[in-house]
Amino acid sequence: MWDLIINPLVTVLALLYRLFSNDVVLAIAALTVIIRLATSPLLIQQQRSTARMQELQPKLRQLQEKYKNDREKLSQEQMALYREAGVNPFGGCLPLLIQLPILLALYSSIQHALGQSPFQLIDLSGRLLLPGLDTLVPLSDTWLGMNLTLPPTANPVYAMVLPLLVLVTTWLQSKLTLPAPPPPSPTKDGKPDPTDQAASMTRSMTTVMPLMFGFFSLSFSVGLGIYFVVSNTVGIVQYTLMGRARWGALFGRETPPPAKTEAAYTGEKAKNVPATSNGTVAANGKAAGKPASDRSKNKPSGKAKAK
Amino acid sequence: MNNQSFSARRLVLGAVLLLALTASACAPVRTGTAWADISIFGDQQNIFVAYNDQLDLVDVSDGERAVLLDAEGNQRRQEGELLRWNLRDSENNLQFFSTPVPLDEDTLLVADYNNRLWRINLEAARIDNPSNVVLPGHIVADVTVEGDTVFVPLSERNLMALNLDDFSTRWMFETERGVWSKPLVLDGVVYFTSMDHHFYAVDAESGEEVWRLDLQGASAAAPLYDAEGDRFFVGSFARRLFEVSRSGEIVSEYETEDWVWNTPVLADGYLYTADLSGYVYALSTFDGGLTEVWKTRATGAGIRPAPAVAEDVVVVAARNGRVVWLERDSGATIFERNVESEVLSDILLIEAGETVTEPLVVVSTVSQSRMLVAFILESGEEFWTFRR
Repeated sequence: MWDLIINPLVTVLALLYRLFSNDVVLAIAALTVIIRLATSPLLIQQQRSTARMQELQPKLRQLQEKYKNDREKLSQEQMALYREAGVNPFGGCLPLLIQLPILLALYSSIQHALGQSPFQLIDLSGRLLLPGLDTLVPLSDTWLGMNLTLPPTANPVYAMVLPLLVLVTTWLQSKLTLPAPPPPSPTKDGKPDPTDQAASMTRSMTTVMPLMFGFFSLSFSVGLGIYFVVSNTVGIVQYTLMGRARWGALFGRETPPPAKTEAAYTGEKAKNVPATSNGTVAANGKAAGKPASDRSKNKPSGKAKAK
Repeated sequence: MNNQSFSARRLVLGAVLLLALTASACAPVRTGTAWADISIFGDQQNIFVAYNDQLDLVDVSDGERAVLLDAEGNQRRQEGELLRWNLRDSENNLQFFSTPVPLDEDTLLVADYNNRLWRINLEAARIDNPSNVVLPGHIVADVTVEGDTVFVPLSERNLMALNLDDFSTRWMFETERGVWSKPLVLDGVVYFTSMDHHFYAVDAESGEEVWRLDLQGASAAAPLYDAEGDRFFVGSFARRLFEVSRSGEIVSEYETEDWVWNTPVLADGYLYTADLSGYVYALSTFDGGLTEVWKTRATGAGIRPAPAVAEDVVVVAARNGRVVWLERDSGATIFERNVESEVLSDILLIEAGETVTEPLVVVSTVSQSRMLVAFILESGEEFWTFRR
């Protein structure tokens, strides 16, 4: 199975290497751009799925509250809600999972092509699908005085900048591209619910992912670190062009959607519910200056209302 | 932070870690460095196995580690148990992919992958001298000792000449990529191939380049010198086998189906080699060129080691674990055996003599449980297996 992904990747990498006058970093960068473009449809699908899931959050919370003592019923109702809304709960994860083998294959391709050890190089044999590429093997393993096959710790000290760059670009990409968490769901007394899972998960992702990838690039080859940096940068550009990068969030000027009160989820009129204290309500242009009860009237959940 | 929020974070962290672990486990890149280097040692034809963290001397008569002997030739015991030849030194993190070289009756020289050379007491199977000289690269190929000089190929790049007594540097010849093959010394000139696509001739005394030849592709195997024809035969990843004169000119070449990663074998004027698509070649060298006598695809998998050539048969071992006996005249398959693990190391031919009554073929797999497998050459019957 792996051969079906790795062999074309290795071949394209070798072709690009030749195209860029044996500059292996340019070849890796170009291959990364190609892969990012090729997986764009998955990215768009993932974005759509995530957005739909976010729209359903209020209803999901309502169900959780309603069936908090009956897990089986809760599960059934949740699945029914997903069905009704035409949403696959794993729709946001699947594109990511599909991209994972491509990432692994790319890593393998780089390792094979650079031929650090006899084992890696012998596994490259037979993977080059076009004639004449054998003469390029092994690809140049040096760039700016760094050995691309070795981790930054085994390279000149300035190679340590690379894990840092990976960390920063991964954080930047997470910050810009992870969907804005819905405002904390208020409790019945109108105060924000500190147990909000979605916000917590988003915070975790923006913290864990950069650290994890930073650690990867510290432990694995410099070549892979370069791939991460290029991939993150291309991702940021891609999201910006799609109009989905949240640059406002980066500079703290983003206006998140309004918080919904318990009343909004249940469809009841919220009476005497104060505005949340964290400013999220007031930050919404439409709702600014209006009492919370008015806002809850403006944006009731359709389904909840029907009930 | 309350419990629910904490568990959500734990969930995300757990999922990410699980994903990372799965990813690492699935990544189709081998983490090892190279395969075992095996060689025949001494009149007894025992076999040295240099692989990963251990160096073993295997008794060719039974496939067990050779028993250590004292000065009188008696078997050494400790607490009633026979002491056997095995070198393992985790304190110095020794890694072996290079066969030891005998310096005298009692001492071996061995290259450690982790940038050092060591002297070993043969009788005790222990390191004789602590080595303080750290070389500027790893070692995956055999070193060559000539007089008071040791020539060391470094796996990242360069060939070094060191003084044998203290391992101080005599000279270092720079190559653009690694040297993964044993240097050959002839009449004061060192000949070696490099992954940078060149076949080099370098003055052994001064380290000055005598000539270099572009092989059009990387070369990871030592050249074969034919004294009778005063010429070399060398293969490369450019899917070619070259006949090269002593002055560094290509005399003739033969196109193979895939990379050649072995030193060809010359027997009675015929050259035998194999490639990584599994083809085996017999070429005539008589008429001033390389003329194909036969070519056969012995097995569906690639063949890294050179064929073992006996009187009537040629034995090859492939990456799919198949060991195939071919007729030397025609290349037709006689029979095959399966060692059930990838074979990448060279094949050894053991002659009949004091220790074994029939000639043996010994192959080495990448599996610890089939480190060495010996077959009777004539019948293909499995004789013994050495496992770690």
